[in-house]
Amino acid sequence: MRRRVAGALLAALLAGGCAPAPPVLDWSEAEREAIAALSPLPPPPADPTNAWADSPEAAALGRRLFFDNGLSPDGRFACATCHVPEAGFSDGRPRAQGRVTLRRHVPSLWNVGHQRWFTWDGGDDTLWGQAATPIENPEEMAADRRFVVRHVASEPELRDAYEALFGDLPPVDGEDVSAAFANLLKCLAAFERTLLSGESPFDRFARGLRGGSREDLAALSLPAQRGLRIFLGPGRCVLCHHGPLFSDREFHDTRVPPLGGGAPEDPGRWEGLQRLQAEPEFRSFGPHSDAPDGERARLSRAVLREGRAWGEFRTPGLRNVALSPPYMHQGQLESLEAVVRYYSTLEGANPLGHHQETLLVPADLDEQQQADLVAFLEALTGDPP
Amino acid sequence: MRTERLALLLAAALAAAGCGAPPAPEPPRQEILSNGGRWRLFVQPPLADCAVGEPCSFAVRVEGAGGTPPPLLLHLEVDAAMPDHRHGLNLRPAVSGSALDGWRVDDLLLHMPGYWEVYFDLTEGAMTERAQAVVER
Repeated sequence: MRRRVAGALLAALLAGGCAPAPPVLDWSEAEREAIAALSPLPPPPADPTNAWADSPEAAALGRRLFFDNGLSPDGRFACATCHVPEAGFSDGRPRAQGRVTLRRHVPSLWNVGHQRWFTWDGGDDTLWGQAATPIENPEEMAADRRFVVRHVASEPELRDAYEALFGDLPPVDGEDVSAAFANLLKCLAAFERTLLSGESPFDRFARGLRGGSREDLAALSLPAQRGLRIFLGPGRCVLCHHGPLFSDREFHDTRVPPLGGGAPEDPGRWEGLQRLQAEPEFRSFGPHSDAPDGERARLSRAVLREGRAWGEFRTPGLRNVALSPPYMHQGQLESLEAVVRYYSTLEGANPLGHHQETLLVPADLDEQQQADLVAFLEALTGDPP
Repeated sequence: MRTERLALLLAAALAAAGCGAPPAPEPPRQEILSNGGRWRLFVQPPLADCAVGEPCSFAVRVEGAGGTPPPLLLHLEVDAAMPDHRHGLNLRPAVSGSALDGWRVDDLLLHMPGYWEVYFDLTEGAMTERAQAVVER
């Protein structure tokens, strides 16, 4: 009888909103400020180089093109062949599999509209310009711009959608075919800009710390909260993975050894900068840009190509990171656990070589701390859009 | 009626004497003395206003340490570094304008949080003198 009374009392307390407060670490003001700087993710910044960047009609056409195997001459490849939605818009393999095995991992496309440079080496300074490379690369989709424009012209629905946006398709053997191709690239980019991760448990927790509800505060488990504290503190992760994207949108040498071992051979950012400057056609400052004299173009002209860029790769954003293993530019690390273990010990790291950056030091995390950090990274997975 | 007219006259007189709205506050600026003490720089808005990870723009004016106008051919270059990480900027900031009219600096992009030193190298003929400031974000 007494037990029944106690049970009823507990039920009444719960119903009356007197449930115990969710466990929350004692966050300092400085930590709360640092957490607030990471959430929420705002809409992607405007892209003046693409006049159709935020056009729903362009994004709808871009979505069709993204999944269209007809963009490759033998019908084997679409963008989505490598950027698989179910694999975090990557492909689950260490290195990309085109017509041959390529040298780098397929980068995830989640939140790609927030990036300043594109692909691992940042050789592209516009999202739309980046799409030209895999389409025209003989080792990937192996098409060319004439083939792509001809394909769109031959499909009534694609043709109508194109012409509603841009006017008549030009003849494929004419000079304007590159401009039409650029328009299609801009549609692909408009679609890719919509690939935004949803609200994550971390975002709900950050809102809770800003004065949100009890449910918000309960969104991040205690292990994940401890992991967040490591992320901001002894792990030093936030130095490169900062801001709501969890990326500084720049380049670093993580010193992870190449897949299969040996000395590093991939020039990374060094080569990207060469491409950026040598191939202006689909760049922010090129003939198809809608803002060739804008800020984006100015930044690309001001970029420094120095020796330290050799072997640097772009800092990936960490939202939805748990969805796209393996990790690093060649998929050298198979899991988040392996990534955290690597940064904890730097075991096997490449020597500094001509790199002088001393940012990377072993985080020296014990097993519990490593597990907590992984719990936090997993809590960056957003709700499906 | 007389009182009203007097009040109006008084208000007009005060306004004419500049006693109306309070003067607009001077926008904040940062003063930096060059390392050799030769130049005094005024950076507006202060470097502390630069957000991490975004291109930052500001104006720079310079005068001799004693308040004298700068020489016409004084040249300014801007750079920055994170000594703790032993790396610098990834973009070269753009400097436009002149010593007489003041310079505009664009695209100073401090891409990481932490301790940055921002360098202002002022060159006159063969002589370069550096002024530097710390930005900690």
